Amino acid sequence: MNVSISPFEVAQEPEGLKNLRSKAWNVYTQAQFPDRASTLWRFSNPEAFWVIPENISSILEKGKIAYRLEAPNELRLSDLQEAVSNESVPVGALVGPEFGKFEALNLALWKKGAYLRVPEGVRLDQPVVLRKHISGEGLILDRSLIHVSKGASLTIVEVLEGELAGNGNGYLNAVEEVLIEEGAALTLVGIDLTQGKTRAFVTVRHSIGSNAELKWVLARFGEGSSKANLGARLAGRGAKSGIYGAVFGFGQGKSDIHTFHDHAVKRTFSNIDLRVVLQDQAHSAYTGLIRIDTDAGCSEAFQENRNLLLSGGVRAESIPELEILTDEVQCKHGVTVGPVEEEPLFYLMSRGVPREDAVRLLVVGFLEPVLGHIPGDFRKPLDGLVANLINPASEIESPL
Amino acid sequence: MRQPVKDIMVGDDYASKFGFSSPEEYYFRAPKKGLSHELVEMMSKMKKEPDWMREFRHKALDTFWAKPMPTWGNQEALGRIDFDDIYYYIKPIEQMGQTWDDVPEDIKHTFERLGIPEAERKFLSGVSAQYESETVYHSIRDEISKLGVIFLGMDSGLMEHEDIVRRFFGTLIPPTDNKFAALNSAVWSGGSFIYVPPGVHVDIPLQAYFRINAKNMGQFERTLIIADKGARVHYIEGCTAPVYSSSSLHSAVVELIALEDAYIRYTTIQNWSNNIYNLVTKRAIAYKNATVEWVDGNIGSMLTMKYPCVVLAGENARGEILSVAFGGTGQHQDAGAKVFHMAPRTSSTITSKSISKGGGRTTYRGWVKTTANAEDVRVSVKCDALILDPTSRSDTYPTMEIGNPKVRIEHEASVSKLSDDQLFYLMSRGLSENESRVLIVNGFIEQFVKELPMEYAVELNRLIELEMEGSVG
Repeated sequence: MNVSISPFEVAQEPEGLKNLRSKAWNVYTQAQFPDRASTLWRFSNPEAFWVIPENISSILEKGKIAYRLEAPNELRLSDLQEAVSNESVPVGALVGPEFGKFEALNLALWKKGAYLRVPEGVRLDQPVVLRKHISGEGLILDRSLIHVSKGASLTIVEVLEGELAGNGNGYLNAVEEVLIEEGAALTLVGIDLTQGKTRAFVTVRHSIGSNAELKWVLARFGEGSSKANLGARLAGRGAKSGIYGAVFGFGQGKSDIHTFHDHAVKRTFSNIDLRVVLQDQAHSAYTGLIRIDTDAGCSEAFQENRNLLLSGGVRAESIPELEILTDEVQCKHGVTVGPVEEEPLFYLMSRGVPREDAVRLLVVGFLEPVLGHIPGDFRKPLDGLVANLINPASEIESPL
Repeated sequence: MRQPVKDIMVGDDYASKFGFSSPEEYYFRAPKKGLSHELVEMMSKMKKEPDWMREFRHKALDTFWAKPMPTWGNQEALGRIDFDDIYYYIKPIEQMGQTWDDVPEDIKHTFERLGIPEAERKFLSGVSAQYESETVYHSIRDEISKLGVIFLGMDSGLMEHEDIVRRFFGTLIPPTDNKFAALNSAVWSGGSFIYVPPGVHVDIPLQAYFRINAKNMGQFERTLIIADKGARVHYIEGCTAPVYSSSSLHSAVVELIALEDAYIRYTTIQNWSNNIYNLVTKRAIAYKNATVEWVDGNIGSMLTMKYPCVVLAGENARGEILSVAFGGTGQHQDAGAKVFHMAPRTSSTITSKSISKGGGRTTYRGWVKTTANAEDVRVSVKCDALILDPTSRSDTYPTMEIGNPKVRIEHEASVSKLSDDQLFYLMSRGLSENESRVLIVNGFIEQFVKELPMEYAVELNRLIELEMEGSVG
């Protein structure tokens, strides 16, 4: 294979990272496009995320991202690049150069990034807020690394705001790596409030150590399009992971979410509850894989995907997959797709609630099991947002 | 005296019961292995086929060569298929038999050992027996044929009812559908052709039995069943082969057409030996108010890839797919179901049960799609898998694509080992562990077994060695 050199000057960085970058650049420029027959790319065209190498520098300068952390003094947000030069930071450990073609683009060329290290044993009651603000147009490479050390426990709320103008072939390419060490507990709340037709390609990987726990809550309300690959590796005994997702798609919005729970060792536990509400011409595709490895007996894995369809032009796709390589397991998944149920509507209306309000109530209630995990201050505005987004006029009747 | 219950072992006695072989003496065998246009030409000539069919075959062969192998599924096993090491056409005898006495001794003996003539006397409306590439025996009860029911080998069907065959053949599964459908279209031979006239109910099942005897053989039967308006029919197929170390390929194409108000049930008990690739395309179309049911048992073969499909094309049409797969040592059962809802008020149910054991692997792969005009659709999908030991594997790959909001779609799947609670309960009542395991597995597949005709239910239980021999007491 020809080793082409990345066209960008990289600051004084450790040799290891330079090597990773050049490997990743090779993968981006040389690797074949992903196979559309594979479930991961069935509902999104990979070519939409390809930027011709010659054009990258021109559009990379036009997109901006700013990071801000609201946290007590003991936590400090560092620039990922500075951190890499000063201490040993495992960039690329979870999403490395071979991960995928478009993740490789991120690894090869990211410049600014967020690095948050939570020291051993730190326990915070109040949520820490990490805000990411995007603006401009073109391509944004966002790279974050969160390292929760042994026994630490906290809630991080990550809010993505702003708007990326959709002209040209630019988009937000975000990669996040999260290490959760032994006995740590992380509640990670990701709220996507981007405006307009922002296009995003998001990859997140967690590694969860023994007896550590991840609770991951995602809320995404928008008419932009996003392809997200969200995964957690249950790497230590007793590791737990719960993913709770709420998606509200409207307009021409498109959400293509893939989740991956990788049970690598014994006695691990995972749960997924993804709730999707679709309106107008919105489109949701969900593909989820649970893999329980040969040596990962005595594990439990659950996965649920519910889809609520509010109007005629929507489309919902769901592929919940299981690969179970051993016997001592409990594994279940379920999918439902349908409109708002007639019976509870009737119940509410018989008590004098107008139909439109009843629909709003039921939709908010449908999302409650997910949104209920979000800390109060962040939760309330979301309820209002959902209620405002619902357009009961477009509602259709249940077939039953 | 209580005797010990044998462990759950599918195919343990396969070699003695089904795995025997007869001498490979044939009326005609393709002069060499491998595929060519000459072979297709020769087959078509020997069968005295009309020109359109000959051209259909040639075109399909080109399609086969042009199509890539599937990029999904068990790549390792698929990669081992050597298309040049297969005899594509073996004609065992010159003339098909109308009575068992017409069938040569060797072949008759084979089917007797498999219990076919006996079953025919007892339970069936008609029987077709295929040996290698050709139907060697065929009969239908007089009272059924008097109703106008046509039940023939596919080759005879083409000769005698060319108009019906030409209208429907390859319409549901064109050669371009997939590589193996193309292969079948090029070299198909044998299979069944059934036509049930309007309003006729065939209450007793029709059966076909498929046997591969030769080594390195490819069997490519082609079945077409048409149930005219308001007709009902139940068709059963069974399959076995001798145990050889070299592999054989079975690649069938089955098309079912249920016109308005018709009902078709298609039951398969596939028990190929563990050297057979079973790569089959099965598809049905159900028009207004029609019902199609696939009852699909996959016990044998090395690799099965089979996804029976129902296209619900008319209002109120209904599809049901009920399947059981058993993946033992060296086996991969990659089976599933597909349903396309293309009309309003259609409904479907998919129930899949799988058991893997001894390092075996079972896969459920399904696809449910509703189009934008398909309102008031109901779908229920349920997949349950049992894994009996730590080295076995189970996968579930369902796909749901919903294009209309006025639907009710439910999908559920579970994978687990035998429940300790259930085992404990049974053992606390004095059953041995093994007896308890057998009972639980039996209960797990009961929903499937009870859909089979009585003698098949018995046969299946025997296959899975679930009899509680001498355990009364």
